[in-house]
Amino acid sequence: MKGFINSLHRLWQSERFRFFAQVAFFYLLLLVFYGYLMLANLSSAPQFVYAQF
Amino acid sequence: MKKCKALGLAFLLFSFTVLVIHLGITKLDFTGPSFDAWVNDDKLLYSRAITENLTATSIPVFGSSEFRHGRSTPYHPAKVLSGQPFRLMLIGAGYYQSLYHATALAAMGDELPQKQAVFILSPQWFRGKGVSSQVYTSRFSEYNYIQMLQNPHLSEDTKNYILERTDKLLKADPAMAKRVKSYQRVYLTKNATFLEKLSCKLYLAFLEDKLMVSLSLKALAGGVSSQEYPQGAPEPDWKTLSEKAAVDGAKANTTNPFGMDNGFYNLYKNNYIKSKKGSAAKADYLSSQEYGDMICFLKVCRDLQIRPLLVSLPFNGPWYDYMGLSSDKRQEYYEKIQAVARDYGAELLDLSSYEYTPYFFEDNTHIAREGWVKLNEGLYQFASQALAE
Repeated sequence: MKGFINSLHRLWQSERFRFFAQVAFFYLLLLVFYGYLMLANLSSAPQFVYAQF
Repeated sequence: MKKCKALGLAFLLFSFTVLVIHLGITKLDFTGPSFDAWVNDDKLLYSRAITENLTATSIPVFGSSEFRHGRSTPYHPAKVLSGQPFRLMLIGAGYYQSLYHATALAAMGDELPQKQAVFILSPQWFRGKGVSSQVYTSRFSEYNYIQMLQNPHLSEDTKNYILERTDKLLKADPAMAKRVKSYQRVYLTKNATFLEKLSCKLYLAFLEDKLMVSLSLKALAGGVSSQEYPQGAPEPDWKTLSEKAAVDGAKANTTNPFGMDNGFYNLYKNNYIKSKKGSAAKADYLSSQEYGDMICFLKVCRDLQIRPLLVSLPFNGPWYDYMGLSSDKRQEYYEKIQAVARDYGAELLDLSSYEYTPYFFEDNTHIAREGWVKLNEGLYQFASQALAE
């Protein structure tokens, strides 16, 4: 466990790793935004509730 | 600076991903019985999803909430008419009424392989003024509307009717009403500015992607997929089905005189049912704008040379007696539907004589068991004749 944490720490010291971690972060953020646009109900129509009677 | 570079690279990767998705979902292949019977708003908002999944013997059946109510029963057309040479594409859900269906048919009519269509009319549509602005905006499809605008075979008279009614009914959604005006300038009068055309095209590209992605995911979640159609079924034995419907109906309805299933009646007996006594005594079913919308559907059929079958569903007789709507007034409604069918040369499956038939309904309005048997028999006759011609 300690070795693993140390490896992660060394990795994070690497400028290149930090750069690609940022790229991945922004990419995921953009994907989440895209997912929202694709799947959310963006209709501007007023809410209508189905009425049986 | 490094963050900007990271964002730039992320945006490039994202753009590539979106392009792959856009190019990947170019065809919505769900052809099969599960898609035909699927009741889903995304299917109804996107006429292309329907036209891409029609077969050479598909006939569209336009209706409303009855499709959802019957689907878990053995009497639903998807089950009773499975294995027949014709395929019935069910189009509709709760509150999808005549104007929506007229627009949808205008959007897809040129691509129907069989030039026939069935239109199931619910009497409840014709109460008062017809479809309200709030209901219509919740069911409005921009995509279908744009396809309708671009249909060169639709007469000016029919198109203008749809435009005027849509403009009036979209008052509850000003943002949509504004976009619709823009579509008219881009696709109909062709006097849109360059920027308007560009933003319209970009928005439409986004809308199509959204509809395709959403529909694909919902189909996946709903178990809807491309399947082989069962083949070789004989004509259903209508007498045996009716007998089974009577047996099932007798078990389901033991508590009330309205022909409602026990579960439904018990749920509402102490509130809505009590409050509805005599409430329809002054209801008007003869002056509704819905008649104009229904006639518009028939005009679309005429313009696109589609042979229509109108299905006139009955009122639940005992329930509407209780609500105070006299049988004379109900008869006037049926006669008005008959007159429209005659005037516009539409075949009519008139189920009005079944108001008091036991086990015809499951609640105050929706058909069940025996109702489905009678409807299915009518659909079978119409569709079989259509294929034979």
